[in-house]
Amino acid sequence: MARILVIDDDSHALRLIEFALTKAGHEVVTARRSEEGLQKAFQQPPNLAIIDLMMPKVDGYEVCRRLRQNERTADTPIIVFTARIQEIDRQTAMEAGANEFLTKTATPDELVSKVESLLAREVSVPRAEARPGQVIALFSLRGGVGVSSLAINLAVALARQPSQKVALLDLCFLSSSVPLMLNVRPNLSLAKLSREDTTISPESLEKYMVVHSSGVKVLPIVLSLARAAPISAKTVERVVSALKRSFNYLIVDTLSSLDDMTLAALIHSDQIILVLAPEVASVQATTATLQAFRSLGLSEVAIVPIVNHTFARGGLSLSTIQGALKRPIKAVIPHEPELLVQAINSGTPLVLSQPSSAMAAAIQKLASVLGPS
Amino acid sequence: MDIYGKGFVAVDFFTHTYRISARADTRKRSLADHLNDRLTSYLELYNTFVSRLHKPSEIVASYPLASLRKDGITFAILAAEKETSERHAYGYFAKQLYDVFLTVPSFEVRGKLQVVGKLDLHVVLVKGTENFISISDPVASPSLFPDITFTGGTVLVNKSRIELFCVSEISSSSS
Repeated sequence: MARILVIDDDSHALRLIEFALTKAGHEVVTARRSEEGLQKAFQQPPNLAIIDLMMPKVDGYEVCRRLRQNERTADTPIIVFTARIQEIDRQTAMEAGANEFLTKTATPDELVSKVESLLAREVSVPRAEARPGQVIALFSLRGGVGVSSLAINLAVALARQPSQKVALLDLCFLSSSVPLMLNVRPNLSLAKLSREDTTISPESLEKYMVVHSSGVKVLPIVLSLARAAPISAKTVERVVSALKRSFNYLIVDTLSSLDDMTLAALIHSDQIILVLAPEVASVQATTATLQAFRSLGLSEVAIVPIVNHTFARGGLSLSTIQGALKRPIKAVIPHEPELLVQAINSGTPLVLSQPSSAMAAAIQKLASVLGPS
Repeated sequence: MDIYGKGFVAVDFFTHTYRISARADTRKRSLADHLNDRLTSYLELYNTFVSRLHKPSEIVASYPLASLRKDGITFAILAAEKETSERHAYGYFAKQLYDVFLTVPSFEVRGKLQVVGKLDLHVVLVKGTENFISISDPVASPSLFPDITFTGGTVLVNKSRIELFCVSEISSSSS
């Protein structure tokens, strides 16, 4: 039996939902006003919340955001249950922090089944402290293979798994696109932190990070190119080490070069996702990277090569790539140029804007492989 | 889930600048019948939520009761697949589905138009007595924000707002 909070201004809907969930054996707490619902949630966090979107004064999107911002309810699974049926509504709800989106055309059985599956997911996933501090760096020696897009979408996909705190460290010095692609406006950056010579701790880093609506906390490398100065490997080491202590996952978006800063991040990573496109130059760069990693003594086990189809046709076959690299490819990300460009232009990661697309599905699968097992 | 009880239907109304999500009291009739009823020029709405077209998911105002001028509606989208007037539910002639594309202020709409017998655009757009025509499987996009799409089971388009109405060959016939 789970404690479920239902917030809906429609008393008829509230009664129906309460009846269906009580019949399924759950304890149901109801609220007809958003403020009342939030108060109940903060006082005694529920196992799951069902939230209507169209509510007066504080709408459902805002309720989701406030639940995600509060430490007590940040991990509460949320189902948005609404009469609004449009894709843009689903997208906005997911961006606001909802885990599932269900329209009020669904039957009570469908609602109960959605509740059960979300609760089951919650129970099967180990809590935050069970597997802390996985550092996953995404790297390619050849640029233009979609490392930043994958890093962003992977971070969001991991953050969407229950109880996972995810940080995204942007190390793309002078070519950073992470804040833009996530549509976040940071006020501070790693470069500023480096200049200020602040003591680096999980607590001190908090103020330099900006929170995306998915829950991912982003540490951008630099805000203004005019004031950009190289960041030392030591600073990167300290930042990685501090973030590792306070997040379940730290995703690192790296530059296409083996400079000191990138190497510091790679050496301190638990897993390195080597991204390559199915073309000869990219395979050659990856082979060179693997040789460099061997000479640097980086653990073989931690390296996860994946193929990102950055073009439509004519790419090398998987067996050719695997033969050249002499190791298996762990994931293949399909080609979705239009959706990806739309996602970048709108500042909404593909796993949120088009979760049912083949590319988003492949990233979610990768997240589930890398994520809690 | 019959969340609203009989006589109410959840509708997304679109004017050329706003999206209005509300419950319409149709008194057990179809919304099409209500919109085409020439005896009333307003529609009574409950739990009305207003969004601006450029940010259609952001709710800028909400009121428990509202009245909407029928002639101010560009189109209304319903989740239900069937929203035809009862009078047209049966017939002796085969029904044909035509792919249509139409433009209305600020929007372009694609969908399927069901016609009994042979399609005569003059009858559909001019001679027909109904103010709103029903188009199934609609996809509507704001002209200025073509990435945003609104879909549903049926769209009821205000004929007086139609600027361009294009029909392709018969899409399929239905019984």
